[in-house]
Amino acid sequence: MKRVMTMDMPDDVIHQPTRLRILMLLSGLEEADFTFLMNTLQLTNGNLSVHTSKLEQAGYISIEKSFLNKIPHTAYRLTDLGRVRLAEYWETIDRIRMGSG
Amino acid sequence: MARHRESADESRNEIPVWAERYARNRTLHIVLFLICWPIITFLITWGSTVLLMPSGGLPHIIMSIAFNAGIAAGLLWAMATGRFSRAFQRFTEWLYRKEGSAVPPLPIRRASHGILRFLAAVACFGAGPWLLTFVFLHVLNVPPAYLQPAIAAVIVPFLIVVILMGPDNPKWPGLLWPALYAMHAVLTLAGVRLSMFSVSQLASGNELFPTALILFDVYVPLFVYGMLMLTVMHIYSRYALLRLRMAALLPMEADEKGDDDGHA
Repeated sequence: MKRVMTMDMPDDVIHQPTRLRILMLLSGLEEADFTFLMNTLQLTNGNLSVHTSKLEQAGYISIEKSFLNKIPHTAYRLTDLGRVRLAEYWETIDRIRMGSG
Repeated sequence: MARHRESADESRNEIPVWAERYARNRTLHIVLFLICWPIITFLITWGSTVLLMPSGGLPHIIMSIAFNAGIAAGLLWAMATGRFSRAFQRFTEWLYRKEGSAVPPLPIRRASHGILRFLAAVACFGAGPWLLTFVFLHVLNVPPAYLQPAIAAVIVPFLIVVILMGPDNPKWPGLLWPALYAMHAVLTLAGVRLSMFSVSQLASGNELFPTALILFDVYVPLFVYGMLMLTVMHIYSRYALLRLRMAALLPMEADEKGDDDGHA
């Protein structure tokens, strides 16, 4: 009888260094804006925009655009789904680590 | 691989923790506000009383009272309509414009917390010290020199409870405030002269206005230690930001996949 081995695979959206760091940072906060994420993670404008768009498409973060004193302001929040997926991601990573010894 | 695993664990634990600590300890806007506010208030009051009534005649006194009442009414209006808080928010954003905005996790709002905060504000900055001063001085006959320790015996436990129960505040920097006020009381009881006034000044103050000068000894340390706590919190936020940036740049297992799809 052939035994099929199934292996956990981490969430591809999260298993990317910049996106993982964005989610981890947002998990400690209620909300952070574009400038804070860009400065803290030392990213460029475009790089941060691309990654946050992907996270938003996956439903892991919410993006709110507004104007503060006529200056565009973009705020990011971790969604409930994002929080759950991040926790699951680390569980998967832990299982993979245990599996690999 | 093993090195990435260790640093990933470190990042996993540290990034959310230091992000929250940083956000909770951003207090520079409050420190600057608390420095500027008394100066502005003093200048307005001094200006209206000294400049508007040089002769001290009744019309000038009425004008001065009307001016001060107008200022007070304007302030109340700004607070009630939210203009004051919006201006404060704009000031905060301007102050932290280079770092960006980071909001700490919002506490679960309970009605009791709001009531407790209101009571704390009243107890610490409003009628509390006045009421306590009256009770200690005139009802219990506590000598003026021991007024600060007597008030500290009531305010310190109250502050500790409020800080420990208050989900908005970081625990240890917040406790610095009651700790310093308690230490002030202990030193006063031990005979260390910490009063801003001499015994004769206090006595003459008593003749003019029973509790005016004595209250400075109660209020000023409360304000100064509060400012000290906020300054320590601001310094701690600098350290938290440094730790956050260090943790955010540690290599992780996900780095092995590479930053292949994020280039704009």
